[in-house]
Amino acid sequence: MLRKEHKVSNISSEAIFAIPTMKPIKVLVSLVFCTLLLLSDIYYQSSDYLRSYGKDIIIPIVYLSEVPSRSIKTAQKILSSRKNMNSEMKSLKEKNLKLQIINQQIAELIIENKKLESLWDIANLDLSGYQVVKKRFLSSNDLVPTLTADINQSEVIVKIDDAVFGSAGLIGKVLLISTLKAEIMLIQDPKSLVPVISSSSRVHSIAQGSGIGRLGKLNNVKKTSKYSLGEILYTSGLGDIFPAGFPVARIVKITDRPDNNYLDISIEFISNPLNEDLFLIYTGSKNR
Amino acid sequence: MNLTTKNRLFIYFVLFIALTIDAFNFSSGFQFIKPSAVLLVLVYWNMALPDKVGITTALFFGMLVDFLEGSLLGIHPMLFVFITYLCQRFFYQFRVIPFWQQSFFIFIICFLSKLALALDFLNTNLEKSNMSDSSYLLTAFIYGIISAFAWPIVYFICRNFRRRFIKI
Repeated sequence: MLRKEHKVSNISSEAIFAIPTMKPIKVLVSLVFCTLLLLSDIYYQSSDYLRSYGKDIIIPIVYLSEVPSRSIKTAQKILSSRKNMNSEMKSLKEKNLKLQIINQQIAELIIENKKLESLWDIANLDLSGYQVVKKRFLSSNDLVPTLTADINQSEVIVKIDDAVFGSAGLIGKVLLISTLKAEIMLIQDPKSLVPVISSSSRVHSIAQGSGIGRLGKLNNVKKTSKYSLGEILYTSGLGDIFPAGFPVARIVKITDRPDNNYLDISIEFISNPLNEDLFLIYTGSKNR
Repeated sequence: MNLTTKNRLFIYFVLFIALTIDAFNFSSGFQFIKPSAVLLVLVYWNMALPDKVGITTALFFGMLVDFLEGSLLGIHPMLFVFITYLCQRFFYQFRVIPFWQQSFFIFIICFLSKLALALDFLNTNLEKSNMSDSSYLLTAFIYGIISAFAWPIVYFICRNFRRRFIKI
């Protein structure tokens, strides 16, 4: 018989009434330990180092979770007949042709944009400084959302604070880097502050998130500012973290409360990381 | 291999499978209301074999969940330790009550733990110490309900596993 085990517990797994309950002192010590972990993380960001390597440790678990969906897809591929594949190939060829035409049109548009020196200012960006990354995990806490994506450091070196873009505009910035993963702070995160400029009134402000699926806000906007509803906010480029000219949010509500020194401006973020799998990390900011 | 070590390994194996399920990514709003498999499995083992799991298990898997979720380090271990203590303190009562009462207990645990995750430790909003709003409250409620419905499934799966593989 092992130490700490009562005779009864060796007879059957159901007879557990002789097991002593947990000692409260143990719980107190571990709660103090957890509090110390929390405090060290809050004041010294101690988890940044730990988390980046922790992410590497749990990579196999994340890959394992993808096994069922991948095996279903593979089985579907194997089971699909040659005829289906041929028709699929035909439709894909048609799509490819369409995409080629669209690409040509986009290329022409980009050239026109460059000529017009538009707001997008794409000409100033180093296009070789982008890396396409795949979404691996999105945290289940919608108030403090973080995104984990696969990175390839041999392709383009990703750094902390690099801007991340989705198909609709800015998604966030790189918060942590491990060997194969990057943790991305989304613009919907309450900790995220993005310097923005409005499209028509050209007023500068700071956009702050409040969680995924929630309206964000503009901080400390003077009552004399002339924002209008529906106005698009673009990155202003101030602070040298996010390149200028990328869409961030849309103004959906402006409230002027007499007891507030500033305007209450609610914004709706344009990008939504829930519905996207691929993102671009821009590593070409020059002034950092 | 020692029988106790073997049993512990089996328990850890089930918890790792639960962590793998939690790592599965849903591309819709379900991502935010999906039940935490690790939490449910941890409650089960605390209830079924309280002498085989304890604080260390709760701390270890809490930290792994923190790594996975990217949350503040220590928040999940703290929650798991607290829930482990509650389960171990009341496992005599918990084991004998009907399923719907067990599910209600799970609902309370999950609802409160989801609310605890909304605490604003980093002072992002100076006006209040909690980031939750009515929408988050609803999310936490639905999360609690789904977890309560998932409890019988987790219970029967883990019980079958325990009866087949864990020898005492």
